[in-house]
Amino acid sequence: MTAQPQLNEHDLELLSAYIDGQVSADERRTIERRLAEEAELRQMYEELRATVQALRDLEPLRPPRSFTLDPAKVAVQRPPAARLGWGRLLQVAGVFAAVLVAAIGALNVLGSMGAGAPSVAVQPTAAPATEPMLAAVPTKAPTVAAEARESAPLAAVPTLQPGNGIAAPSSLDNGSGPATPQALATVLVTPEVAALPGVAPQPATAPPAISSPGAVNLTQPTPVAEPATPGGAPDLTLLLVTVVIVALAGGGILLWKRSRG
Amino acid sequence: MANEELRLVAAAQRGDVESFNALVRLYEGRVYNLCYRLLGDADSAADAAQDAFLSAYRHLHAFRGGSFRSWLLRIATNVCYDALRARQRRPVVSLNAPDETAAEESSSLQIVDTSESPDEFALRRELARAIEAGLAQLPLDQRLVVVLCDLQGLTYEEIAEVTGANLGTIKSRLSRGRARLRDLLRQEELLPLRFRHNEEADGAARM
Repeated sequence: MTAQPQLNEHDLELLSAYIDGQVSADERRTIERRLAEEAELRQMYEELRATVQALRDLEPLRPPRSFTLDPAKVAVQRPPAARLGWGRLLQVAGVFAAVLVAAIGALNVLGSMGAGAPSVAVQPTAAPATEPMLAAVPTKAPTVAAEARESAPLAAVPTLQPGNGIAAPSSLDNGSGPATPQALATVLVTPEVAALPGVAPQPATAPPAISSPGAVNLTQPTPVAEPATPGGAPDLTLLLVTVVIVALAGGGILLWKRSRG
Repeated sequence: MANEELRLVAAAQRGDVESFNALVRLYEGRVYNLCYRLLGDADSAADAAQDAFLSAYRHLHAFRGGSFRSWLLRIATNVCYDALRARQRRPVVSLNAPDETAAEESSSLQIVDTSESPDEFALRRELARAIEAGLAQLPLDQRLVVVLCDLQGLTYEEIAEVTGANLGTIKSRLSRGRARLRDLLRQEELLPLRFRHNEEADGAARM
């Protein structure tokens, strides 16, 4: 057996490309001239060509099974036409969050109506006592009011019943005295009450209000004694959740705008 | 054919799973073979092929025209690279030991061609085994290019699309991979006799 021909990288590349017909006309002429003259190059070429032929002759394997997708499973996972990306998800989350904020806002309003609705006029004296609450609330209030207007018929009615019992007394918890829930409720109520004509006929609200449906009950005083009993701590949690949801909604809208621009 | 493929891709992009499955049937052999050559065993190759088609379906919206075949093979390549990386972290099967049983079971090497003599059949089988073993020993970047070019019949341009490498790199990897395989076949005296005869004749002439 003769010695194994060793070529430099460049010649090897040229021969390999020549086998595939991937050389320029000039390169082809040079290679063919050299192949006629150089036995070592010719031998390498023949061996490379035989190797490539052996590779091409290799029989393809049959797949052990079919890889087709199950339409039922895949359709549930992701319809490609919908192009559901993160942006889209955040848009949906944003809308959902907005509805949730509206619901919670309405819940607070009605809860406070049940507790201290009569004090429609703002009480500035209560402000220092409720600093942490007020700091958070005014930033939300306009959003809540605006969105509650849209979703009030949908969101407010079904969610209020369990919420009333929670929202009214819990707002008391975070304040420092009996005046606090009223002040807080006032801030929330003031812009919204006018916008929610359908609020009053809630069966779960303070029973005395039911007798006079519509906005009338807002002016009707109800006992303030009830919310003075500490009812539990969920209001702070509720507000925190609201803040988080608002942040989420804002982030979603921001991302959506960015993806559009 | 190309038009039909484009139609199927467009329909699949609109969410028609059956159109996508038509594409799967068209390319599953090709994708499975690529995965098998890169991963070296039938089970991993089947899993990778399945993952590749699922991933392709999920990312169909990202396909912006061009060669669907190249796009699909690129996804399959990426899936295989991920599988190899995972295997490096938790080694299970050696790349140097190709799954010969599976290869023999699924390969048409089992089918005896009546026009072929027993010697020719034996040589062909031995050559195939040596080539498969040699492929498994190649560095991954060379193996990928050799498989795409010589087993799958892709053009250099298509290989560039699949691998993301430029033509110069592809030529270099291909020539080095082929040269290593040629060395291996030569060591095992498996290069076709015609060339060895020529070479012996050349040697005799020189003496």
